[in-house]
Amino acid sequence: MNNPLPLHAVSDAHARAVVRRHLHPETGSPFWLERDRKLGTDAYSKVDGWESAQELLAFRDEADQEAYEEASRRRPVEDFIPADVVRDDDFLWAAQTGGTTGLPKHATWGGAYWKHVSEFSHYAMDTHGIPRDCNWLYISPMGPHTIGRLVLDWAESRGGMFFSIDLDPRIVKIFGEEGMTQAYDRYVQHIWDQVTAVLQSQRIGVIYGTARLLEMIPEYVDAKFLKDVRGVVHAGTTLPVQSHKLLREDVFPGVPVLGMYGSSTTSISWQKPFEPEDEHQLVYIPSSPSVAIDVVDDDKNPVAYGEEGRVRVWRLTDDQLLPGFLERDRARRVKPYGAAAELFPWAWVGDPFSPEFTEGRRVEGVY
Amino acid sequence: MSQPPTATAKRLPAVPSWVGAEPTWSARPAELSGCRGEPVATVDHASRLVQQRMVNRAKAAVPALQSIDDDEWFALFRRAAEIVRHRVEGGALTAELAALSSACGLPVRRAARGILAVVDQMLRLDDIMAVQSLDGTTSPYRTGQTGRGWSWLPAGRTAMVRVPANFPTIAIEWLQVLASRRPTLVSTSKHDPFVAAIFVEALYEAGLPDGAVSICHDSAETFHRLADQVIWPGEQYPPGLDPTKLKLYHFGRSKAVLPEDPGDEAWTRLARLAFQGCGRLCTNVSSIAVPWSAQEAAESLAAKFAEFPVLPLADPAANIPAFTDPDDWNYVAKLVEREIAAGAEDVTARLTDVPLRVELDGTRFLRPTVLRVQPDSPLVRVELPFPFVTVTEVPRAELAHACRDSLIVSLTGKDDELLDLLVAEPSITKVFHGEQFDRGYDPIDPQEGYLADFLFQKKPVLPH
Repeated sequence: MNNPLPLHAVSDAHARAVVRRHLHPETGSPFWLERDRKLGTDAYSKVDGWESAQELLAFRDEADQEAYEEASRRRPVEDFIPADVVRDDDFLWAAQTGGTTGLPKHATWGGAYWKHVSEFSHYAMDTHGIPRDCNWLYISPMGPHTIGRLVLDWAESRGGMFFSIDLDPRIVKIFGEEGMTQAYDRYVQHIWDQVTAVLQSQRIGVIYGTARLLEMIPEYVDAKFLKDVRGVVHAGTTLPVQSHKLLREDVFPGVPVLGMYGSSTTSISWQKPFEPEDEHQLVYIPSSPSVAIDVVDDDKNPVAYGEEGRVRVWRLTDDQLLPGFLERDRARRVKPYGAAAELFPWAWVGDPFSPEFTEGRRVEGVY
Repeated sequence: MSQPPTATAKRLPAVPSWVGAEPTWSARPAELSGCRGEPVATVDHASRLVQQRMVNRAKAAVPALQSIDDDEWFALFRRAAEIVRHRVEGGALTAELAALSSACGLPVRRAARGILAVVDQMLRLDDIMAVQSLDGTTSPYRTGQTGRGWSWLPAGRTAMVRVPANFPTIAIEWLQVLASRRPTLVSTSKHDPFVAAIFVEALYEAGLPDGAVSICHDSAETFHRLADQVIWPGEQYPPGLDPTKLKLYHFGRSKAVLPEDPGDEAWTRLARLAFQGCGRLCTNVSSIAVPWSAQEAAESLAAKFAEFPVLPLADPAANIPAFTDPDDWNYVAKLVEREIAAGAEDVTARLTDVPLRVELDGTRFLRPTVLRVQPDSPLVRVELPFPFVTVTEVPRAELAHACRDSLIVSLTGKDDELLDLLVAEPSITKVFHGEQFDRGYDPIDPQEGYLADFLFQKKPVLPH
């Protein structure tokens, strides 16, 4: 199988190019240049490949990562982008994180990165059988959330129209924290009332929703309104294994159900092609080399394949550098297997989850 | 998908959800903590889609439940009861009992005895169900026939029962729902996933049709929405629940009225009534009203309470429950401490010198307490989750009024006039007097009415 995509394992050349761009003495990213000077790293001169980039640039400790996080909340987003990237003609999407863990952090998705993600996304959707030339119903956060614009782009570029129901995970978090159960329940009902109205009146071929919302579909939506759905895409918190099975077999029998793991930080990882040996566990392929995701132990070393650890992210694009960011998520490190192993021969991510969301089911309730 | 996917499950009891007869792991099991914060078990939480599957299985089970004849139906419960008894007494459930003890703060031996008490009730479920039916037999549950112009039919295809973690004996509530041939959706509390699972496993082994009962541990929002009827413990229920399909059960505030000093044996029995189920039952006496010296009454009861020391949960003689959640412990202790600060007398403290808050090996307890309070004390009208009784002095003419909003009022001695007043008070659910003043709970008795009154409705279906 030929790889028609610009995806490959992080190469020395890619790592070196990205690091030299962000740490260029004259046009580098102000924040990363300041950090480089403060730590005395001189990464511009010393990084000659992926290994040395990891050694020299990775966040040193929790305080180092926190300093970056706070800066990304308080400083202009241009401070994290090389000056020549800010100046060039390509667009920069101002991305915000979900904002469920404090003030939202800001970053960018530049045009080249967007194209990279889009190509991978269309490949994944085509491979899984998500149809083209049909309308989408999107039930997820819009507004500042990158995923809204991404899915709008996919729907339209695949020949469909984009119907959307907005979600606000930040207000849902407030409802949960402040014990506003009635408000939460009313909000959920409000979502489904809007969904039903669209499904009743429009020809919807693909549904995109958070995993938690898709689990609620049979409770809130009459099955007759779902009969024309020919593709389902889900993201947000991980779909439990049994739910994945039931969604495929009971709720949408014969319809492709495709999972996506991602955030503004971790980018998009697509579910590997569905195979029986998956046993309905969700295994995702990171979009390397723009993003390198690994699963690490407490010493930040990759755990053995099959073991669980914390998700660590490297963003290696012209517009953003993120050196080994430890996400709150945990996941299983998966050795590539099955039909897609040769095409994507870097570590995959299995069944990621957010521990704090598992405890506070209200936030998880819709997102 | 029948095994939990984490390594920790190797050493700890692993409690699955039950989708009908199928033990199920939905995804990542949650770790359940004990009263010292230690992990005691891994527990599945059924996702919404899995809960929907449970509801669908329950609906599909209705014909099978109606098709079994009465003798076989109740024999099935007896077989299941014997399976559980054999496992408890044979030591097969030692790990589960230890986990239950720590997660719920119950003495191990008392928890085991609580389960065996349910076993004993299962052996006579036919009697328990017969007394609730229209004609005093069990057949109307199956046939709906009344011999009159209407039928006696289920008021829904499924029923959800939320089961609190107070004490294992509460399991008899959902067992009665199931025994009425109603497919039952059991929603366990976070702290006790064990007891329901023990009985459900035995019931399916005994031949219960698939789908007749399912278990979702911890929150079960899908059940709330999809179950035709919901039976919820206590008086506070999730705001999203439709009140027209809801029955609240086993809220307590049981009291005793002592027209005169009842004597030493009665004090012993009253203390026992307060300690039944480790003081966690709705039938525990939580307040005593006397028209004579509250001081003397409180001292008599406190002397009996002093015979029950705080002991580690593993001690075979332990009777006092612990608090799993430090916040709960602190909250309940503060309720008592504030009342003392406001002028109530901690009679137990004076007699024993044992502090209210007790910690043993990192486990938090509140020592059994008798508090002498004014009649308007807010603690007269609450029940606390440990052996705790307020004693208050009330003029005789006001005794019945003082006992309003109670599940049980126990009246010692013979006092027909007072008995009439208590019986006439509509907010008192049961009155036990004379030799049976400490009758406590027996499922033969109506308790907030009979469950069958809620589960069934008189419905004309004409012509027949």
